[in-house]
Amino acid sequence: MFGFVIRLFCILLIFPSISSQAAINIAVASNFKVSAEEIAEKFTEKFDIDVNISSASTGTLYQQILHGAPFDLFLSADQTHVQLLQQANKVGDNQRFVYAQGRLGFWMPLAEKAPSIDTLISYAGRLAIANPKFAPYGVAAQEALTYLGKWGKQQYIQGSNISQTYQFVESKNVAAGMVAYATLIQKNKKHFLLIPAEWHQPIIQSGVVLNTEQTEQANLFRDFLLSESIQQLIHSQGYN
Amino acid sequence: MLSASDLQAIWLTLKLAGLTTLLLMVFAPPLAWWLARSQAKVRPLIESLVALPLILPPTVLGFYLLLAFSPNHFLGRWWLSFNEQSLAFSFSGLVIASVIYSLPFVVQPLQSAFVHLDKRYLEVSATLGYGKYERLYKIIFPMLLPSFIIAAALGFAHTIGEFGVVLMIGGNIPGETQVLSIQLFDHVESLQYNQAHQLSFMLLAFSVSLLVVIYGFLQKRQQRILNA
Repeated sequence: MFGFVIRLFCILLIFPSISSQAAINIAVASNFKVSAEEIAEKFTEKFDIDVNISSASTGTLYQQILHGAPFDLFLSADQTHVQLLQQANKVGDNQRFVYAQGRLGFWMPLAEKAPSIDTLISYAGRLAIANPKFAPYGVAAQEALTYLGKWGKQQYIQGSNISQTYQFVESKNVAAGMVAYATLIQKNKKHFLLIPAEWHQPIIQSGVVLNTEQTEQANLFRDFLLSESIQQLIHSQGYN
Repeated sequence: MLSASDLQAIWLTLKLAGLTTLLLMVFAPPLAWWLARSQAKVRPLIESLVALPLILPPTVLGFYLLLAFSPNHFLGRWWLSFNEQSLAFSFSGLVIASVIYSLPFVVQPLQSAFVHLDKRYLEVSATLGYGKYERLYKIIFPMLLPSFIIAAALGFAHTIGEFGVVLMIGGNIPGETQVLSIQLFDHVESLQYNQAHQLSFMLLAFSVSLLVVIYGFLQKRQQRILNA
């Protein structure tokens, strides 16, 4: 009996090490988390490589990678943080790639119908946005509001990332917000306005394979991510 | 050296911690007294509720507060019936959250002091004709002054260091909810390491000085009592 328990224990010890050998760790900007999980599932099905996904704001993930977090692939919500990692010699010769282009949505869940551009212009209440100091969607929101000539004319409730901004509006604590259009599509929301792309610099979501021992598997995931069928899927989820 | 928004964050933090400590020092002592003396059956439940913020991740508290403050729920609706602004993302909301979050840090030192207070002092003073309030001001308060100071200091310091809850229900509004810890987080996230260093160092120096002053005071008082 005792021997059996020991043997069982040893088998259990070996199991996770077998599967973790083939797993890759991906750091994903919070707006892309849901899509990334879906893509990772398909990837694991096809290549039998497990994927662990960690999501946080792009800035937080950047800090973690800079200080040695064990990620094999970084999917940022912008280009800047990827460039910074390249400058910090964290990616070797790996080239950065664009995997999606984000869009903004002006969301008013309690409105009777979907808000128009006029509604957005005249809305003077508290507005939830992502922090324009470091969150890519916050930067875009500030640019769009500046374009409309209304930046600074109302109170901004700032989320530390775009998911938190969404949650502020979802919980009805703020009546309206500038959130990720993709999230609105994925959650089947109504009552929103897709912000015209010309109102802000494009939100170019880029990624890069990091310098780790699993570069090969990470490259495989990158190619899968950029493949036509997956790009179509990403497009259908509210990205350009 | 410090930017205007840094100074504003420091002032806001001191205001929040000061107000929270004041509120806690008003109603934590009676609560602690009741917890120390009561034989009621609900006592363990109340005691657990008070201790809860020690165990719960701040995110849980923040999440529930965000729900409670929302107009979908009773508390938020009730508040909105006589206030224009919702509790979420407001200074008042932060005060409520801080009071809950720092409650055990104030109640627990007081409670343990009350438990260890020798009943005979109170009985003797009662036989000397001291009334209820006289006993409070002339016996309990002077005897247990160090515990009151420690309780207030812990409540104050803990509120200054609060981060997780504020991150969830604050909304980062300058002058309203952008406290020091959030401002620091902002500096780090936006890669402004110099400002982050300055603020962190100030916070560190301030915390150490505050604690040294308090413990120094307690030490002097102890010597005075021993020499008396």
